[in-house]
Formats: sequence, structure tokens, C-alpha cells
Amino acid sequence: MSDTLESKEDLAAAIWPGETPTRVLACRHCAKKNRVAVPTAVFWPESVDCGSCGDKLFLTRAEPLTAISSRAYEHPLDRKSLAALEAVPGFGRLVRWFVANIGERSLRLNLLASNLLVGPDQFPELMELQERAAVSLDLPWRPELYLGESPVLNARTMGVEEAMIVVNSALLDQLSDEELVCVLGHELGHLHSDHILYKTLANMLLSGGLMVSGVLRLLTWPIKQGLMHWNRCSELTADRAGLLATRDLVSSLRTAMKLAGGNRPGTTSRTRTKVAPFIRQTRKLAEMEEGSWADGALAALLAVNQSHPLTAWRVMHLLRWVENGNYLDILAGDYARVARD
Amino acid sequence: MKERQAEAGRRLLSAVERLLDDPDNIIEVVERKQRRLQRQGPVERSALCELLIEHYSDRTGISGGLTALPAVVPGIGTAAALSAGALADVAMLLKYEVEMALALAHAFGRDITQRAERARAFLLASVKVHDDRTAGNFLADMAEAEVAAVYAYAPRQMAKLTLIVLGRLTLAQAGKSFFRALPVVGVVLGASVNKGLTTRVGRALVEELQRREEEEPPEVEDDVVDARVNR
Repeated sequence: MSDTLESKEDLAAAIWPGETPTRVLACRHCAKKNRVAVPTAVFWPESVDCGSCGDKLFLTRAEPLTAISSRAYEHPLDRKSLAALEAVPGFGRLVRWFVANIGERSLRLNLLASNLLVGPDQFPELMELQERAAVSLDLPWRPELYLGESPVLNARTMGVEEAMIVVNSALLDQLSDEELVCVLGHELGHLHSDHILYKTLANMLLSGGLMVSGVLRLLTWPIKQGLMHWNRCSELTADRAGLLATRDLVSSLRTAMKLAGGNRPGTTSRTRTKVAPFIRQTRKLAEMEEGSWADGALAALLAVNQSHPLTAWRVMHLLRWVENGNYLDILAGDYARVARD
Repeated sequence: MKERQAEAGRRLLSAVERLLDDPDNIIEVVERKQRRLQRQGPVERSALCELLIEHYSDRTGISGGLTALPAVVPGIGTAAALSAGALADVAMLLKYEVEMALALAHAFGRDITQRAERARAFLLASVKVHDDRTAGNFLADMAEAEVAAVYAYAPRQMAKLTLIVLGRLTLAQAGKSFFRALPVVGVVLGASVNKGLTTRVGRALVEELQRREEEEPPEVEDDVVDARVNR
């Protein structure tokens, strides 16, 4: 919150302008059900104790989400779209072979040839941020990390055999450390949720790596659209992972805001952008989409050929998960876990 | 006959289960409608239920029209509308009606993420569709089952009952869908029949939920304490 004029109270009022929502959460120490105001739980979790045993209701930010399963935070749209893609007979096997044998090699060569490989002796500060995200999500993997020179605010994850994350240099210019942890948590969420196989293919389709034309292009069009739709839905799951990595909603929202409007010197020298008006902007979009069938259809059309969903749409989904989904249950230690040896 | 009925029921059940939406998405639909009503003033549950019924009946209307569409091509199209089209119509109809039953149950404060609640919605939607389409009374036919008893059933027992009702429905449906084979008229009839049926089923489900609320109110959170906040 160092580069903002807003207090958490202002933000809470912008997100929940009407009646303060409450949630009932089980205490992980004594199992007693506790009623807690959502804004308090989201912005001041460290101040909330169980009304029965007096222990902390939420995990602290330093505590990892031990053995968390990606199913705990998977967005239902992501799950549903992936199931539809996997229902195409032989598609998964074909994609895996293609990506592992052709796509991944060229991607790795390309990365080594024209990006900076980050390691303990090269930009260890960025490695440290990835480490923070991975520890918070309790993930055992540390993918190869690359820094790419690009003015576009973006990062991407690739690689079926060996995972690689590429961070564009624009992110370092415009995001704070906390926001970078959120972005790296987002990328690790893609890995955790097994998105990489189809995402690599989607990236190749988008970048023109798979040149198909004529009849073949027509025949593969529905599969391409299905893949791109899932690709956008998978971002919603990864946004949740990004939030869980920082457990700081302000950082997630500021990251989204910067993705929408940037945070370049031309802006920062004149003003300090605020999250609360941005929240009101996303609410306006939601009202337009929900209030009019035509606006909803137009918004869906706008996203058709995009790799990522519309930013305001991502914010709406994230806020709904925070308020009505299992975000607070996860912070209270109640989530699906994976079995480990 | 019984085996044929059971097999038909299993096929339909498996088709509908695959099509059924995630409970999270159904909750999202209810909340979206709630927000729409909130913008106009205080939300009344009856208005919310009507909006949900309208939402799902629009969808069953569209699917009814689309599945009768092949009949526009005489011959092969007629055969397709009568066979695969009729089965697809029942499957889509049930998908939307089970989702409507779940959405309405959520509007009445029931926890639809629970397996038992989903099984109950499945059974009740199937029974209502069956009764409307066959002009029968499934629960009255089954001497051992009464409406009140259904609420106490475990998910397994409810699944068994659902299989029976779906089997009966599939067989009854086969003989009742000739209107779908009429070119163009079939599309209009398919859409309007489905929309009307879903509206009737929705209202019957609301009555059922109101009755259930009186007999078995949702769990009162009397064991909930207020969390302590030190700020």
C-alpha cells in the first residue's frame, strides 16, 4: 500500500458499499463455527480470534498452505472447459506429443537465445520473490525463471517436460515486490493446476507458431476456439493462486489495475492511481453485462481472440470468490489437500 | 419390460449427469438474478424464484426448438427428430430442470453443495417432469413412497428412485413426440411445450420447497459464535 492514497477502510467501503457481508468459518483449533465480517477477515485477518477458544482464526501470511490441492481453488469455469477439451478423443495425447517433441524444444532454445536466465548468481532478488510465492503455496517445484525485455505487462509459463516462467521487464518497472509475488504466484498456479500442456499449445497458436491454412484451418477452428476459451478461464484459477500467494487483496487488485491502465512514469509523475474507483468501474461493467443481454454478448465477443479474459471481468470473479467462495475457508485452514509421501 | 425401463433410465441419468452444471455456477446464476433485483429495490424471494423459473424455461424452450430442428429436412431429418432428437430433448430438459430445482433450493437457503440436496433436486425435478408429461402421479403410484418420506431418504435410495422415474419417462416420451416430426411447426411446438412445462415444474417445485420449509426448516446456526476482533 506504499504507493497508494487509500486506506483499507476506503477500499472495504468501495468493495462492499451496502450491508457488510458475513461468513461462518470453522476454527481449525476447536472446530467451533465463527461468524466474521468479510471485510475484517479479508483486510485484517491477523486481528481475528476464535470466539470460543481464542486462538487465531486465520493462518498468518508466513504460514504456507500446507499440501494444498489445486482443486481447492480451481475456478469451475476452468474445470468445466478443460473437461470439454479432454473429451475430444486422442486430443490430449496428440497435444502432449506435439508440445514435448516440437514446441517445447524450440521454446527453450528461443528463451536461452534471447532472454536472461535468472539464478542464484543472476538477479537472485527475482528468484527470492518466486521462492516466496512457492513457499506460500507450498509447492515443491522451482521452475526455470527468465527475464525478457518487453514493454508489455505480462508473464508466462511454459514447458511440459521442464517448466519455465518468463517475466517481462515491464513488470519490474511498474509493479511492487508484493505485486510481483502475486504475478509469480499466478504463474505457479498454472503449473499447480496442470494448465501448462494446453497453455503451451494456446501460446503457440496465438504467436503463429502453428501455421495452418485453408481447409485445415476451418476444421481446427472449433478446437482453437475451445482452447482459447479454456485458456481465458484458466486465468481465473491462476488469479486465485496469485491472491493465495500474497494473501493480500490490495496487491491483487492493484496488479489488475496496472494491467488495465499501466503505471508508467507519465502517469506516476502526475498522479497516484486508486483502486476504489477501479472497483466501481468493474462494478459498472458487471451491471451493464448483467442488465443487458446485448452488452453481455458484446463483452463476450470482445474476449474471443484474447489470451486473457477482460481485466475488469477477472476482478469481478476474484472479488466474488473472496466474498462468496472458499477463499476465507482456505485462509482458515479448511481446504482440499493432496496426499504426500 | 422392467429391464428395458431400468436400462433407459440409466442411459438418461448418465446423459443428464454429464450435462449438469457445477453447483458454484448455479449459485452464481442465483446471485446474478439477486443483484439484478437488488438494483430495483428490496429482494422478495417470490420475485427471485419467478426470475429463476423464467431463466431456465427460456433455456428449455430454446433446446426444445433446436432438438426439433432436424425435422425441417423431411425423411432423414424426421427420423432424427423422432429418435436422437427426442432423447436429446429429454436430457436437456432434465438438465435445466434439475439446475432450476437446485437454484430454487439455494434461493430457499438450502446447501446445494451437499450430495443429498443434489440427489433430492434430481429426484424431484424428474418426478415433476414425469408427472407432467405422462399425466400420472409417480409418488402416488409407488405405494411405499410419499412426498414427505422422500426428504428423509439417503442419496443412494434417492438415486434408485430417480432411475425408476427416468426409465418410465424415457419410455413414455418415445410415444409422445410425434409433433416434433412436423417441419417448422415441430420447432415452434417443441419450444413452447418445453417453456410451458418448465414454468409449471418450477412453480410446483417452489410449492414443494415452501412445504418443506414449514416441515423441515433449514438448519439454524445456533452453535455459531461471533469471532473476536482485536483491532
